[in-house]
Amino acid sequence: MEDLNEEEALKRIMEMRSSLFSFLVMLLPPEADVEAVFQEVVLGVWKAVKAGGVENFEAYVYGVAKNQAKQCLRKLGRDRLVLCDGPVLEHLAQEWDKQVGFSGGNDRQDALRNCLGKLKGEDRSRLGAYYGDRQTIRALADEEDRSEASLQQIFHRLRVKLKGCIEGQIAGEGEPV
Amino acid sequence: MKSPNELMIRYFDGQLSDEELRELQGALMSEPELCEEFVASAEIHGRLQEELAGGNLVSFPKVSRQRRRLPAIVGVAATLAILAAGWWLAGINSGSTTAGDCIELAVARVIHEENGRWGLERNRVAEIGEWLMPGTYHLETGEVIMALDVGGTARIEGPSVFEIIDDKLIRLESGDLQARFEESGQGFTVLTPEGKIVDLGTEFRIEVSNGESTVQVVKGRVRATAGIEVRELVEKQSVAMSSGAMKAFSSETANPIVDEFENQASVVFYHWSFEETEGDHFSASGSDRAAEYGLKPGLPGRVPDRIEGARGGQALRFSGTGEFLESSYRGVSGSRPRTVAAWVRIPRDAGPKEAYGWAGWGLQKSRGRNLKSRKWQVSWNPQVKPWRWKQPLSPGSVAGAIRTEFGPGWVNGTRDLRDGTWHHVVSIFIGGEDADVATHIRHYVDGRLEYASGFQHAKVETSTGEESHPLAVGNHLTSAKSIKKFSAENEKIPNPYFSGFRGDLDELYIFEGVLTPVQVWRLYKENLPPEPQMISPSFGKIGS
Repeated sequence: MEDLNEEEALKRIMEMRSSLFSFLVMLLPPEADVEAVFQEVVLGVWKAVKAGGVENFEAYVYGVAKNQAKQCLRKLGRDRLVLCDGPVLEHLAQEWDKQVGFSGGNDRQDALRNCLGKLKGEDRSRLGAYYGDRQTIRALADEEDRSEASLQQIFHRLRVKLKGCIEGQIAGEGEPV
Repeated sequence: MKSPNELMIRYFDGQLSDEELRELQGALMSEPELCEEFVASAEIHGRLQEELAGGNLVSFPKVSRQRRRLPAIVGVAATLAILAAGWWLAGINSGSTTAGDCIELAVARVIHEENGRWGLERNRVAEIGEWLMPGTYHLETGEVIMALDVGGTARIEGPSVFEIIDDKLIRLESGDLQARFEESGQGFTVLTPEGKIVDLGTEFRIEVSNGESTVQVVKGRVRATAGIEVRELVEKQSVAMSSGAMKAFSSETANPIVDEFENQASVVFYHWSFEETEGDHFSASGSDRAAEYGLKPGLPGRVPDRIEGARGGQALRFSGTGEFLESSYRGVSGSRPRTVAAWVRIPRDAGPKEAYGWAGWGLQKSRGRNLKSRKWQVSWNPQVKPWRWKQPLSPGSVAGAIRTEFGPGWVNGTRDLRDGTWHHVVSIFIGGEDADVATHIRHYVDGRLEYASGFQHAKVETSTGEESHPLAVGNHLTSAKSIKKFSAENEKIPNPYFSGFRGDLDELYIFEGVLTPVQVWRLYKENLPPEPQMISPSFGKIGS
């Protein structure tokens, strides 16, 4: 049992925030309010700590996150098909554990920031427009006068490139993008 | 049929049909390599959302891509040259979020006209409510009265040709201009072909024709310069400037500008003075529905302390530990114009978790690829994410300055307000189609126009629907929602983001219209709001 008070628990969750948030993004459909689910996770963990503490804090947090994601998926699944039904969710969570792990702070997010800084300006602009300004692929494709499919491929390649860069940074290689 | 890899790529963009989702489900379960690739890609997809989504919770310096064609975008070299000359671009400091992302703002608004007609390329009638960008204007006929953002009023009679150079500088090529400034507008300068006139707190009239510029002081003082000759003129003095020289002459006293007028319809406004209470509710006054819009504690029994007010009477002291107020007032929707004004006092040691907020409403959904936050919030700029101290929330901005945000966009002022003294803060959104946070907000602190230290673009579409949060005072909208859940079972309220505003607040006003700078000044000096029918319309239409 970890000897944590509520404030310390909150601080620890916030240190895990980036990874936890990405984990939820992976499990939930694009239209889900991930922030709301994240807050439910915080609330759930906070209550558990207040009620007497938890063992293996980080694994516990991810367990709560999985349960909250399932609840959200159940609600959304009433109206439409969702990708992460039970088996798929567990399957992806296992793969997440292998690749990212259910622990750690913001190292990977810090690495991503470094990696973004190494991208070409054009690619950073694309990412900024899509993730920052939330422009649609279609709008961006129109702007660049290319097909949606080719732009989706570009985004995919950028994600792969960034993933490789993050792994390199974590491994201490500092490889350029 | 799409390949599993293509399905995966399109999934992140929310484009899959049910049939395609089933295909992807099957592929993820049966193809380990695809599953591995999916998780790798999903991790980055989520982290990029976390890193790049703008707004209050996360942000990243915007990349240099110029998405929008803004009027008069200034190139980097030109910007540097202007900055080197010590000039401000109208309203926005170019040392903002992105080098080269400099914009010019409208600096004046037409608040009255009589048969006014713009000539040459504009070739149209002048319209009340239109905003004027820096540029040259030919007023062929009639009369136009402009509210100047910097804090004054100018009347131009046609035919006149003038150039608005920036918010404090006009060049009158020919014609007739009369201007009056509040204290906030001191230093405003008018150039003519024959000289320069600097306002020192006054009202004056200038006529330019036939190689001569005449200056007449209606009230107060001006400094007139012609060639090497400099004179300070006081009330009822007049000079004529020509060929680098100046000579006094007597003239009839010009009539003062009348800049008040009656609008066709009253502008709705509400005022919470925090003087009157009904139980633990703070009453609202103002327009018809004020009786319904009292502010009540968001958490039962958690009422901010009452202290001596900024203008006498009483103010509220928020402890920064979660108490906040809310009203059934749903706020101003869409891109309609609005003004939020209040007195605030922020302790010197206030931390970033204690920044939010003075007033906010709307839809707070900051996550989800296809969900957009549509909230309106006014606060001070915490500058860092409280949960990640090294990460700037608004790169390049001044911490502690007034901040207005809509969804992923924001604009921050320049003056750190965390000094333990009262300040009058005003956030004006001029509204209109395609209105943008970066270009359509004006801040005033203690009656004076506040330049921007940073901004991020976002088109304003504030939500006031059923899902939205009505007016909340003293907390971040995200926190206001979550804090209720926490507090249902716990007295002590933790919050992952913002713990609530710590500081004092008084005389909160929300106008569903745009105050003129002069009205802002009077609200600051006298705590007197303009009559609802005296608030001019703002169409947010920005003329070029």
